[in-house]
Parts: sequence; structure tokens; C-alpha cells
Amino acid sequence: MTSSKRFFAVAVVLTVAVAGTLGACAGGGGQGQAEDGGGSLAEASYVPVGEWDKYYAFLSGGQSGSVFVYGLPSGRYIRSIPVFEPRAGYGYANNPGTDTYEMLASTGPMWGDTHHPILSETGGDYDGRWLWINDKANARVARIDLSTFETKVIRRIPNIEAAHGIAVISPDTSYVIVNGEFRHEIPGGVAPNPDAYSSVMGFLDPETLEVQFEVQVPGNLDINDSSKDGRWAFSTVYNLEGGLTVEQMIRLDEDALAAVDIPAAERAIAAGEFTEINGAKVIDPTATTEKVLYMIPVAKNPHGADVTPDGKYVMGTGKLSPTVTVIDISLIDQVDNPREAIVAEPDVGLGPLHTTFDGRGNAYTSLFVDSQIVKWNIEKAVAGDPTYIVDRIDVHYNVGHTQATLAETMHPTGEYLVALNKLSKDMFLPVGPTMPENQELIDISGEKMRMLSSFPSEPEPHDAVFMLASDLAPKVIQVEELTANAVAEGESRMERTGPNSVHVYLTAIRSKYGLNEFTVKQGDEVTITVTNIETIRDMSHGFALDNYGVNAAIDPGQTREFSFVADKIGTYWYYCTWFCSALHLEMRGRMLVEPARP
Amino acid sequence: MATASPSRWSGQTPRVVLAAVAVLLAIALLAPLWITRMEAPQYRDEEILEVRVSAGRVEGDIHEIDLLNQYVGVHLPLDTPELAAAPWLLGGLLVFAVIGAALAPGHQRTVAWLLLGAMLLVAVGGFGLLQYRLWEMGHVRDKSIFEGVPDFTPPVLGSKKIANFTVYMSLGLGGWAFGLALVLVGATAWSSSPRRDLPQTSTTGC
Repeated sequence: MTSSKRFFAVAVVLTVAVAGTLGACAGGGGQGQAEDGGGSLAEASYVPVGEWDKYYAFLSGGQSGSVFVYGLPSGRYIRSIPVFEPRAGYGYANNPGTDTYEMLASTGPMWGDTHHPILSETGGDYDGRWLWINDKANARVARIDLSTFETKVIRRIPNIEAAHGIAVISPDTSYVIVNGEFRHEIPGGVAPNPDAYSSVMGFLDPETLEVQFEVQVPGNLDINDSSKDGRWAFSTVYNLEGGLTVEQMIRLDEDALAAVDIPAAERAIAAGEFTEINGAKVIDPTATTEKVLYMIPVAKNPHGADVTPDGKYVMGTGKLSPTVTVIDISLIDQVDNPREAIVAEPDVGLGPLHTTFDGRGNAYTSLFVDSQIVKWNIEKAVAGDPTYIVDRIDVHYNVGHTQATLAETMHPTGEYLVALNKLSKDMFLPVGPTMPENQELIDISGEKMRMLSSFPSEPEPHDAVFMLASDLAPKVIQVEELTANAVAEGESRMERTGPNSVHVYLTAIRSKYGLNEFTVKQGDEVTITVTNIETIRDMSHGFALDNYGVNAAIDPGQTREFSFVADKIGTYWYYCTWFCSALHLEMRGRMLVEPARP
Repeated sequence: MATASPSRWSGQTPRVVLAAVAVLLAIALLAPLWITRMEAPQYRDEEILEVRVSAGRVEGDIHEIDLLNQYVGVHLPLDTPELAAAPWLLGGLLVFAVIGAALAPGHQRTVAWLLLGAMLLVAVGGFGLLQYRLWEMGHVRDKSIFEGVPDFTPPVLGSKKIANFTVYMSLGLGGWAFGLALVLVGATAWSSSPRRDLPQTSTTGC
């Protein structure tokens, strides 16, 4: 080594040592520094101002009744999509007389409990058309159009109490399936009768959400998924005991994973082997000529049901058992004893709930009790190799669902994983007794997992799905085409439609409504149609009518209609609630309500 | 013929060039003559606002600019007499160029000189009127609406900061076509004239 080389080597060693010391001091034990390359942790999740995240993350809103949209890896909260709850800011279902109000109110309560967002697939990959979400509390399913991020259809599913698991039938979204978790009388409307308790898995038309058929399954249907070839619908089942109390539900050591043979069920329907109950064709699998339902034993009260991206295995995740039951899908209808379809039952840790995948042969299981994500190698577990555990990482705290990027497609990107933790406890500034939920972003691109960041949310995401921004962003509409009922520029007017009703047609554009005022009689039913005739993106307008509880949000190109009764005499200003321009505050007009008999 | 008329361009060349001029004038008649692009932080990339002035019509993000003009009180001059006259003027020049190209070889000189004069008038007049309209937009406006935007005069070519916008003014395809046509007509006029540096072989006893 020449003297100059020696000097260089010493300098490098010294630099690394000093940097390491500084890092340890500044980062509180090196948290801010890379542990195994790939840049600092901060860099790994940093997205510069004005640049877009690589992924959309759709988180269910739980008891908030909506869907939250975040960007990954930044963890930026972008917006929420109201589904089963009114949201005044978006003018969603907050005023009677709007289509969104009617859509929600006509299907049940103005509140819902959303658990599992799922995305439409074509060829086993996300196609960016639709997202569905369940309402566990009121047996409803909704479809969101991803071109506008708006709820388009809500439907109440008959014969279901607690619409819990929901999944798309791969690879081409032939059905959306939904599980009825709570057992109850089918058909309902009778005096309480535990002997008539049952639950069904519903097969819905993906677009209209109308029930095509239902299959009765013993026990409580929990989480579901489908095989990648569209043949099988899977669901974990607990409480085969048929218990009514916690103690009764956990008596048996074994429950099951239900596998519905979809073509066989379709043939049963075609052969008339069903009973029509509340408008749904219900198959009793014990009464069909062809076998429709297979029950594979899974250890005690399993929770997650997840199919590997290659479509080879379906996994029932143990919950009360520390194991994941790995079932070879190709064996399900080939073996005499369903137990023979089980190819592995690796022990992974305490309270395993859900399993997700990186597409490189690894599974990641959330451990609720251990507050960990455990990474394990599927083929090693199947081969009986005891070294199947690859890595473990602590999460904070009590993780429920976990989902890796694109893990539910046939082509996971294996880049990030989100742990959706049930408790945040000390993770954020205290904000009273109600603390936010804590999502944690974990880098899974290497052999070892790396905790990158955490981001809080409203209560309470259960599950999440991710889409590559490059697959979805180009399909998002930001200025809508005018619809047939749009009010054109210069056509704002009021028409008297009856002795006690008027129809007001308005345009909205910076910085005025089409009418500066309109006059009605007390007691008139006022219907207002407003069209936002802006042609550039992000130029939303609102229409709030003071002291009448009316607020509509109208995005560029959109037309909104709502109605109310003008029961108070006087002057009522309407004004724009979406700050639009330098003359936003001046963007308003007056509704003049005159006495009915002067 | 070369000996009879010793001009710089001979034979079919002036006719071909005038035919090219006619094509260029047709482009000028159809394509935008002049383009303004307005850029601001919230109007970037594909959302840059653009106004394209062609013969007889103004196109582009007029609607959006009108909405923004509510604050600065500017009125876009969309129906001026010069705008209405432009298609007729350019059309006339085009017809003239076609006639020049159609005439028998050797008769292009007069047409070229006349066309050159007419085109120069149109160009200078057009630039002048455009500059006047730009001055008018920045000065004759409703100043009671929004304070803080002083009077302005955007140049016909170049850029100017106006309120939160940087405005870029440039020739459009039609403008460049007209300019090239002007150069070609000038070259034709000059080149089809007799060469004074050569002895005039057609005259005797000089």
C-alpha cells in the first residue's frame, strides 16, 4: 500500500467512525440512519414537495363508515371517500333531497362500519375501475368508482347479518363475495329461534351488487378470498360449535376453512337446486347433487384467509392457535379426507391474524398478541425445514390486518408492507382519551424488514389495499363531462312547477352564481339544480344556504340537485363554501322568502 | 432569353418561389400567427394558459383567462376590425402570389415588388395594431376591481411579468410562414430585377 492509499484508507475509516457516532447521538440509537444500506430511513419514505407518491393506499374507515386515501411511502393523508356516513364537506348524503342521501338512507342507517376495501381485477391485476367496501353493521356493500373516487352504488344484502369478509373473485372480478358473519334466523322476521340460525356467503354482481346466489355455510363466516383461477371462494369459519357466548364459541380445538366450488354452485343454481329466500337464490350445500362446499379443518377460531399470489396455497391464519394452516388448493377436491389437503402448519407466534405476501416466496403474518410482523418462507415451511422463520419486527401495538404492496394480485411488488395496528398508546402526542390508530410502513424489499415510518388515522382502519399510482392516476377524472341535466351558461332561471313548488336552475363559476337572487313563497318546496361550469381541475364550488342546513359541493363539470322546504320568511344568503377565487367571499346570492299570502 | 434579360434568377425560378410563397401564405391564413402563453405557479405544464391569434379568430383558453380577468379588469379584444380584416388581407396576398406564379416566366418582377410592398404594409400594420391592443388591454381596463396590478404593456414579442403570471409572446406557425414568405418575396423581387453590375447586352451604342 502506498502512503497515499494508506492515508485514504485511514481517512475513510475515521469518517465512517465519526459519522457512526454522530448518527447514534442524533438519531437516538441510530433510528434515523440506515441499518443495512438503501439510504436513511427518512429518505426511504420522503417524497419531495410537489412530487407524487408511488402508491395509493386505500384504508377502510372502520366505524367512521368511509374509506381513507393515503399516499405511500410518504404516509400523506390525501382525502377520505364518504360511503356509509354523511359528509358535509363533500356535500355527501348530508341533505335530504340529494341522490347521495337517498342512496344511503334507502339502504339503512346513516352510519356504517367499513372493514375491507377490495379492488377490481382484470387478468389477476388491479384494473383501476372500482373499489368495494363492506358495512359490517348493516349488511351493506358499496361500490366506489375510482375514476372520481365517489360512491356509486350501495346495496343491502339479504339474509346477512354482519357483512364481514368481502373479496373479489380473481382473476377477472367475476363476483364480489360477501360473508354473513353473525348467525341469525334465515329467513328473518320471525321470533328469536336459535335453531334457525345460519349464515351465508353471498355472490354479488360486481357492478350492480345484486345477489346472484348465496351458499349456506355452517359456523361464523369470517374473512374470505378467492383462488386465482376463479374456481374457489374461500372463507375462514369459526364457532362451528354454534355457540352463543364467548365461552361456547372457543370450546372446540378446530374450526375450518370453507371452500365453495363456484362452477359447481353455478350448476346447482342452473339445475334449480336452491330456495328463494328474500329474493336471493340460496343453496343448501347438503342438498345438492354435486359437491359445492368443502370444509378443511383449521386450528381454533381462525381469522385471515389469504391465497398466495401464485394461486398455489390458501392459508388460514390461526388467531387462537399460533399456527398458519397452509392448504394446497389443487388437492381440495382430490383427497378423500380434507385434512390431506393441508401441507404445512408452521408455528409463527402468538395471535396470528392475517398473512400477506411479497411475491418472492415469503409470507408475512401479523401477530396480534406478540405485536409483531413475522416473515417466513412458504416452501421451507411446506418442506418441513425448521428454518422457515426469516425475520421478525416489532409493531406498535396489537397489529390486526397487514398488507404488502399489491399482495392480493398475481404480481406483488414486494416493496412495502403496512401494519394496521389496533392501539397507538404512546406513539403520538396525547389528544385525550381517544387516541388515533397507528399505521406503520415497513420496507420489505430486503431480507430483513425495516421500520420506515408511522402515520396516524381517524378510527379505525381494519384493512388496506394499495395501487401503483402509475396504474390509477392517469384514469382519474378531474373535470367531469356535463350531464344531460346540466344547466348551461346563461340558462339560470327559476320556474314555478306547482302552487307550492319551484325549481331553481343555477350555474356556478368564478365568482358568481347564475342568479343573484330568487324569490319564493313561504312553504314552497324548492328544488335547486346547480352546475359547476368550470373547465379546469380543482375548481370546486359549494352551495350553502344559511340557516337552512343546506350544503352541496359541486366539482368541475358536475351537476347537483337537492330540495328543501322554504318554511322561514326573510332573506337567506347562499354562498360558495369551496374557496375558489379572489372574489370567493363575494360569490353569493339571496333567496327571498315572501309570505304565502301577502 | 438570358442574354435578353440578365436578371439574377432566370427561367422558372421566380415562378417556383412565388408558388412557395403562396403555400406559405396559405399556412399563414390558417395557422396561428401569434401566440401568448401565460404561466403561473398554479398554471404550469399542461395547464399553461394559451391564446392563439389566427387570421379572423382568437382561440385558446379564452374562457379561463376571462374568468381571471375579472380581478384585473382586463377585456380581451376579440372582435376588432383588424382581426375581421385579416383573412381578407392575407387571402388577397395569397391570390396575388398565385397570379404571380401563374404568369409566364419573366413576368414575375412587378408582381414580386407589389407583393413585397403589400406584405410589408400588412406586417408593419399588424405589429403596430397588435402592440396597440396590448397597450389597450393593460391600460383601458376596469381598475376599480383589484388593486395592486399597475398598468402594463406586454411587448409583441418577448416576455412580461403581469400580476402572478409570466406572459410569453411569440410568433405562431402562421407568423413564421408569413415572415418566410416575406423574405422569399423580397428575394424574388430583388433577384428578378436586371443586374446593374453586368453589361446590358440587350442595349446597343451605350
